[in-house]
Amino acid sequence: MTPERWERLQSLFHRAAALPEAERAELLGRECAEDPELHRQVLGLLAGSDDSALLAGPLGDLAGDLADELADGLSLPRRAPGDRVGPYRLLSELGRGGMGTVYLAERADDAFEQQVALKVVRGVIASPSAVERFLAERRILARLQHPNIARLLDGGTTPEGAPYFVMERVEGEPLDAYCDRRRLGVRDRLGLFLTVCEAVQHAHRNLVVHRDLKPSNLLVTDDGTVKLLDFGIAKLLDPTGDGAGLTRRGDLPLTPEYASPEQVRGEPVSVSSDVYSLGLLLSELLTGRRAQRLTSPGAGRSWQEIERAVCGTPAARPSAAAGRASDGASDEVPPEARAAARGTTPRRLRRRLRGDLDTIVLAALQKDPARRYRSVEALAADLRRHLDGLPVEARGDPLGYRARKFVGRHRLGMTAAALVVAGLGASTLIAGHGLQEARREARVAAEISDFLERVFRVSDPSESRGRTVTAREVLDSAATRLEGESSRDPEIDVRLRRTLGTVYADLGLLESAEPILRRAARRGQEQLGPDHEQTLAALTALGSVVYRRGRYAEAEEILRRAVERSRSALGDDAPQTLAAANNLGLAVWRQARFDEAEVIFTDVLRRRRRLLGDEDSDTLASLNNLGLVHLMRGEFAAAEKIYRRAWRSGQRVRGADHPKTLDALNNLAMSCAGQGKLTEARDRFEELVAERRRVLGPEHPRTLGGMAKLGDVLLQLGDLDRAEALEREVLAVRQRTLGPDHADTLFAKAFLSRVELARGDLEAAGRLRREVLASRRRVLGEDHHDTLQSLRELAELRRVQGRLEEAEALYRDALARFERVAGASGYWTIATLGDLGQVSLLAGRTDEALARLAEARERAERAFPDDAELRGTLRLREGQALAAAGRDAEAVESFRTAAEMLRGEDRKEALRLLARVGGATATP
Amino acid sequence: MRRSPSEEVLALDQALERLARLDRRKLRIVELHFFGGLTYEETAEVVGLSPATVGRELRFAKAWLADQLAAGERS
Repeated sequence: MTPERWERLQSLFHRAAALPEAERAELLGRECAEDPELHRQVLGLLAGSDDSALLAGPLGDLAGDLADELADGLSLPRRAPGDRVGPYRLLSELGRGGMGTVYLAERADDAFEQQVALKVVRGVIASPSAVERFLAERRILARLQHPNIARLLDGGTTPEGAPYFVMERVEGEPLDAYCDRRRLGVRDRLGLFLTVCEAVQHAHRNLVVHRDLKPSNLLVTDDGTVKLLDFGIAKLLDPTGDGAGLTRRGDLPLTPEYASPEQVRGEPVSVSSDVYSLGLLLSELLTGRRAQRLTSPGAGRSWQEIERAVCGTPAARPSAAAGRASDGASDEVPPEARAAARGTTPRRLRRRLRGDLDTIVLAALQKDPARRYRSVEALAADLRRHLDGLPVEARGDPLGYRARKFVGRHRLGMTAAALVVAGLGASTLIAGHGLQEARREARVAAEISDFLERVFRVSDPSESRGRTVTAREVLDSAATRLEGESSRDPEIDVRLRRTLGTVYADLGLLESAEPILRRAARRGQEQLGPDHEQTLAALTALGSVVYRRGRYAEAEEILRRAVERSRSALGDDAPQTLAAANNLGLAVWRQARFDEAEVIFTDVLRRRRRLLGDEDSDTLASLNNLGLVHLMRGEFAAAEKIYRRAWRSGQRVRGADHPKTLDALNNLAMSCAGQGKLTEARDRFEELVAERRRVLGPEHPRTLGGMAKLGDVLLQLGDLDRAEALEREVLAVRQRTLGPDHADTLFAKAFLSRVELARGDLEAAGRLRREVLASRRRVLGEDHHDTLQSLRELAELRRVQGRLEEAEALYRDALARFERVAGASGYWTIATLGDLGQVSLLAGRTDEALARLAEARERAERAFPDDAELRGTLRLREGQALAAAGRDAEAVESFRTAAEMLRGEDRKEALRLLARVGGATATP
Repeated sequence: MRRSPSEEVLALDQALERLARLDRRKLRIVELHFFGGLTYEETAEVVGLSPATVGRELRFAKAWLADQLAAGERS
C-alpha cells in the first residue's frame, strides 16, 4: 500500500467512524465511487472498530476474548476414574479450581509408584486464552522451586488438545484447621505465617502474584511443612503475562472473602493484592474470625454486594474482632472457643493483639494499595520486629504518605520503568509467539522476568531502609546487574542495553547513558554483526548521546558509520537510516559546517516528505533542522519562514504545548530577534518559557535555553535587571548540571557578560569573556564558529574599554578566520568587517573606517538585502564615519536610513545622531 | 476455517508485522498501549504525541488489526 493510500484510508475511516451508521454509506459511496477496493477496506475497518469486544483490553487477550465466547458451553466428556491422561491414570477427583479440575492420579506405566495431583482444563475445549493461561501457569510453576510451594512435576496435552500438568501431591490439612487442632498460640501462628510469607516472597521475586491466598490453598503436612497450592490464577507481573484477562469482572475465579478491593473492582493486581490477602489470613489466624465478611453467603451474592463489603467496609482491629460475639452466622464460633483454640482466654487474646499486631494487620488491610505495606518483605519484617520486641515501622511511618510521595516525586522515573517494561514486552511478542519459537520465547520471557525481578527488588523498602529509592537508583541497579550477565540472547541483550541507555539519556543522565550504549553497540557488533538492525539502533543512540554530551566530532564519526551501514543494510529510505542521518546532520551543524549540514538535512527532509508526508512529526523535525542551518548562517528571514511554518504545523499536528512545537516556537523567536523584531521575539520567548516551565519543569535544559534567549532579548530591549536575573539563574544551573566547559554553559557565560557590559561592569564582563574564549579554544578549536564569536566579543569589550589596538588585533584575527570558513559574503564576515570599521573610526583613522564600512555595507546589501538589523547597523556606523569626515549631508542620509531600518536602542541612537548632525547642518 | 490457538497468535504477529511495514509509529503506539499497558497519556508522553492523537492512532490501529485478523479467518 502506498503511503498516500494509507493516509487516505485513515482519513476516510476517521471521517466515517464519526458519523452515525446511516450516513456512512453515503459518505463512502461518494468518496469511493471509483475505488471499490478502498470502499471494501474502509467497511472492513468500520466492522473491526464496531466490534467493541476486540482489543478491549491488553492485546494479549485478543485471541482469548474471541475464542472464549465461542468456546463457552462446548464441553468435553467428563473424565472418570480409570481414564488416562498422557501416561497418567486418574484415581479420583480431588477438586475443582477456577479453571481446571484436579485429579488424584498415578503413572499408568508404573514407572514410579507415586501419586500425583493432575490438573486438566475442565470441561472446556481449550480456548486460546485458556491454553495460554494454562501454559503460563506451567511456566510459572516450573520456575517456582521452593520448599513451601507445591512443585510442578510434569505437563503435557491430552489428545483433544487440552493441556494438563502434574503437581506434587500434598497431603495435609488447611493451615487454619491445623493451628486450631493443635491449639497453637499467637507466637506459633506467627511463625507459620512467616513461612507462608517467605513462599509468597519467593513467588513475587519470580514476578508471580498468587491472587488466591486463602486457608484452603495453604496446607500443612503431618511433619508441619506449609505448602502453597494452586497458582491457577497467578498472574505474571511481566506485561506479557497471560493472566491479564482474568482481571475482568464477572470472570474472576477468586474467592471474594480473601480478595483485595482492586481484585473485586477488576483493577490491575500487583504484589500488594497478596499483601492484602495475607493481611486477611493473618487476622483470621490470630482471631479465628474472618476479617472480610460477606453478608449473604453462597451464590446469591451480587457483584455490587461483594464490592460494597470488600471495598467499603474498613477492616476491624484484630483485638476487637477477637472478642466479638457471634453475629448469628452459622459457621460462627463463640469468642471463648476461638480463644481456647489459641490456648488462651478472650481477654488475654485481646490484650496480646492490641498494639503492634493491630497496627500491622491494619497496615496490610488498607483499601488503597498505595497505603499498604509495599511488599510482603516489609510485612514480614514488621512481624519479626514485633516478635523480637522491636518497635514496628507501620506505626511510626505513615506508609501511604511515603508511597504517594514517591510516586509523585518520581513520576518521570515511573514512566521510565514502564518504558523499560513496555519495550521488553513488545519485543517478546514480535520476537516470537510463533510455534517454532515457543521454546525460545519461554527462555526470553524467563530471562527478562529474572532481570526485571532483580532490578525492581531494589525498590523494595526493606532493601533500602531509611532512604528514599530514586528512579536513578533503580536504573543504576539495573545497569549493574546487566553488566554481570552475559548468557542472555544477544538480540535481547543489545535491545535491553539500548533501552536502558536511552532511558538514562531521556532522564538527562548522559554520563551514565554513554557507557551502556557503548557496550550495547559493541556487543551488537560482536554478536549480531555490524549490519544488524539492533546494532545500528544502538550505534545511533550512542552517537546521539555523545552529541548531547557536546563531543560533536566524535558523534559525527559514530553517526557517519551508522548512516553508511544503515544505508547499505537497510536502504536509503529506511527509518533507521534517516534517523541516523538526521543526527549526523546535527553533529555536522554543531561543528558549524553549515553547508554540509544543509545538504544532509535537505536530503532527509526530501525523503521524509515523500515517505511520511508534510505534517509527519519526523518531517517537521527535519524542517526544523534545516531552519537551524539558516539560523546559524544568519539568514534569519529564511529561517523565520521555515519556523513559522513548522510552528503552525506543529500546533495542528502535535499540539501547542508539545516539546517539538515549542522548539519551533523557540526558533521562530530567534529568527525574529535576529532580524531585530524584538518585541515579537520577546513575546514569543515569554510564551515559550512559560510553556516549558509548565511542561518540562524549571531546570530542564530546554527551559533554560528559552530563559537564556529571553534574557538576551530583554537585554536588547534594555530591561537589564530581568535579563541579569535570568542569565544568572541559567548559568548556575548549567554549571552544576553540565559542567564548566559545556557549550551551553559557555553560552550562558557569554550572555551574562553582555549584561555586565551593558551595566558598565567592564571588569566582570572581561573576566567572563576571557574564560569563555579560553574554554572554547580548548574544547572547540580555533576556527569554530563559537570560538570566533568569543573573539569578537572580547574585541568588543576592548573597544569599549578604549583598548583599541587590542580590539583591532582580535577583530582582524576573527575576520581572517570567518573569511576562511564562510567566505567574504558570510554574515559574520560582514559583521566583523563592520566592527573593524568602527574601531578605525574610534582610532581616528576616518578614511580607513569609511572604506571598511562601505565595503561591509555593500556586501550586506548584496548578500542580505532583507536583513534590516545588519544593514541598519552598518549604515549607522558609516554615518558616524561620514560625520567625522565632515560629510554631514551624506551622514544625515545614512542616519535617516539607519533609523528606518533599526529598532529599539539602536534606532534611538540613530535618531539622536540624526538630530545632532542634522541640527548642526541647519545652523549656519 | 477456525484457527488453532497458536495459529491465532501467529496471525496476530503477522498482522503486527504488516502494520510495522506500513506505519511504524502506529505499531509502537499499539505496543506501548496494548502490550506495555501504558495509558493514553503515558503512551503520548513516550512517543511525543498528544493523547488525542494517540487515541486516534489507536482507534485506527485497532480497527485495522481486527480487520486483518477477521480477513485471515475468512480466507
